[in-house]
Amino acid sequence: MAADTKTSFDLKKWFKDRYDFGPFLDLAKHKIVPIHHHTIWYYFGGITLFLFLVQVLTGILLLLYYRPGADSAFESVQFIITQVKFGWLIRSLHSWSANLMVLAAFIHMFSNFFVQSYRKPREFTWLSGMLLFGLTLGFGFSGYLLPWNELAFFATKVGTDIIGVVPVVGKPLLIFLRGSEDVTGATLNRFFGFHVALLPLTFLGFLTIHLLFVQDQGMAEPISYSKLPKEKQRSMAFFPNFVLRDLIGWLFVLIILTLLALFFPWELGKKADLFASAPAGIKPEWYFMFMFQTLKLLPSTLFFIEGELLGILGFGLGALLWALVPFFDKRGSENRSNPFLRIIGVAIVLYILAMTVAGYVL
Amino acid sequence: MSFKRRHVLCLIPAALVVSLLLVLSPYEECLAQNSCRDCHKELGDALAQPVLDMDKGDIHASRNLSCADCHGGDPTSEDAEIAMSSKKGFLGKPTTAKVPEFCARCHSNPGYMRNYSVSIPTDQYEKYWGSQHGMTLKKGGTDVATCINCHGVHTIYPAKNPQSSVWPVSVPKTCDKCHGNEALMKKYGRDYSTYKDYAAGVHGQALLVKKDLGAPACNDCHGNHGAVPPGVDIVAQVCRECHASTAELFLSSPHKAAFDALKLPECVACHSNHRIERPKDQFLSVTGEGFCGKCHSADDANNGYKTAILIKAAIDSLREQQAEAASLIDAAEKKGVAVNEAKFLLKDSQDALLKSRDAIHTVNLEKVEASVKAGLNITQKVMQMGRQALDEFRFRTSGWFISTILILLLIIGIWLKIRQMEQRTNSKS
Repeated sequence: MAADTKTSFDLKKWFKDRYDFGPFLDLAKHKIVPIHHHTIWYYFGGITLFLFLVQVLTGILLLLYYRPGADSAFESVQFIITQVKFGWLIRSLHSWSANLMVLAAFIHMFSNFFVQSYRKPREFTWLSGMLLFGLTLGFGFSGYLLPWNELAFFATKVGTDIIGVVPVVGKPLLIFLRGSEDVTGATLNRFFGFHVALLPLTFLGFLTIHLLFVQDQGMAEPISYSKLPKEKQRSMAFFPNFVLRDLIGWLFVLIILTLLALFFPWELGKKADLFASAPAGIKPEWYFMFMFQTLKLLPSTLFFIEGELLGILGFGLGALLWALVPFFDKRGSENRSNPFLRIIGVAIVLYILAMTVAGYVL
Repeated sequence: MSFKRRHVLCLIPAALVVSLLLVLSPYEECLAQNSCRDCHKELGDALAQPVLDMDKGDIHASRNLSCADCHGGDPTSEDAEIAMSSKKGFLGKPTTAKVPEFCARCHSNPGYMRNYSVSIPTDQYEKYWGSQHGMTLKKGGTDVATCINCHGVHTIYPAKNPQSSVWPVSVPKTCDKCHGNEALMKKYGRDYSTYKDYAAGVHGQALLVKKDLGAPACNDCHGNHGAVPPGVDIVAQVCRECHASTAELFLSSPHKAAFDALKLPECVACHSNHRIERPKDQFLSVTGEGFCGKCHSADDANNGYKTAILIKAAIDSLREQQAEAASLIDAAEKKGVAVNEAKFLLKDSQDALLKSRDAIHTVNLEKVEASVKAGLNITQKVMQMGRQALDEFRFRTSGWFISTILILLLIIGIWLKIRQMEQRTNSKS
């Protein structure tokens, strides 16, 4: 027995001799996750992260064959889905997971808003989350153009046109994004650069910060939970109990994702033609639809200002106020619920839903 | 230089500026000096109509031609008696018989017309007198079409303008104004349902419904200024203008001599003239609505009856196989399998069917079968690709079911592990 102990290889010790992961393991072991009526919402952060990982993995695989450029992008995607073994699956998974990631991020953001998770001391977690959400939308906008198909081409044209309306910075920003006055092959190359280099690098930086905040400060407790006596506050260990439950969620999402990829493969459509007229019914991605529909419904001039410009400024101001909500919610910082903000939140959700539906129906 | 002379010199640039302003003054202002317009506008009702019509974008008015350029007279005189006096060359409203000549004063003058367009034809007048319309007019028939019946009077648009009554899509309706007039057509012993027939036919559908400007309007077959109904002997020539390859096949066939002997109007004998139905394979049948059976019978000495049956069978086989291939591709595409290549090939197969249908005009079984065989070879490939695509979908589906079962088993395993852990923790506490 003694001889056995001497010869057996101790992996834990081997690592510990080189780097002590103890503090990290201790943190995971001691971290607890509160159990209450809203625990389900904790999983959406993890699901968003999982979908991001799917994006990274499938994105890297697509990069093996994708060739940016007005003469090669569409053809290379066509090659991926018709000739490359499981290429259809990878491309569909990438497109579906991108959309599901935006949906999960929406749910994650609104659930945290409604349980006031942003309140002190988690203001920076909220802010970093906001930045991550903006970057996610940026991923969606830039990635949509990459297959260089007709719908994406015109949607990008409309989308960048809207940016161009912003006073002072609009026009230079439009030229910067497009690489010229119009959407051309130069735009595609730029969007490719944003999508595979600039955005992922920035996203990873903020994601690390976001996750560090969450791990360090722990899960936010709803106000009602935090007011319970200690003995009535139920909880579970983050590791392994919550992590394993998270894993179950990820696996369910994986099933849904593969189901969508198989039975509803993402269509490639027709190749973009720079000289063709825009086909009828050009629509942006569903997550931009509420903004697009609002701009469509606005009159050409409102209060002596161009309607579209007013709409864009309104959305910009709305996003800024939304990001700064932890600093406005005084009741939240005093650990009190804020019915006024809740009503506003519900109104925003209803507005987004109504405008999105109107965008597809009208 | 004296003071006076300097003043006179100063007047030169001033005069230049005034002249320039006059030259550049808007057309409306020039028209305002036109007494024809002024008076006729004031008179109102029907007498004002020509002025109002000219203001709707009339080609002559837009080229600064005034009333007097056609009707003569003196538009500078405010006195109607003088302005409309024969001394001033006033012609007034031409009679129907005089209309062609009235327009031809300019339109048959190449030198004058070149001022407006170098490519504009100037032979309309000559052609007109050779047309059925012109010949009837010459004989004293005043209810025939002259220039204004087709082109309009005071609101004339160029033929290339979609607003024009002679824009290809508008031509059938323009002709129908007279040719759809039952009383008028009966007087000349002509059919008055031509428009209805044309509109129901392939050409009418293409031009009037699909707005395909390549499709023929009345004038493409009958001519426009020299319009005459093509006789039996030349009707096929008219069709050949567009259907050249089909005509070649027909001319090389034994039908050519037979049709000539029977004085049958070639293409029209089977396809009709105005109500040209979209060709169907059923036309090849020797029974029912088929054309072949109208001339050929089972006891034909020349084997025509048997050949018709065999040609139809060959065409049917290609069409049926192609439909099967298309449905396979469609099914695979609906299931989300990319079938772009197969779809391209399917188009080749459709082209082969078209060629085979065209080849029937040779009435040569061997030639038709050779064309059909080429189509069948492509169709077989498409079918194979369709089957492979459906197999691929089955592979994908079974792969998904297996992986889903494995993932579900893993989920159950993890769930059991969580329960086990939590039961152990609960019992400890």
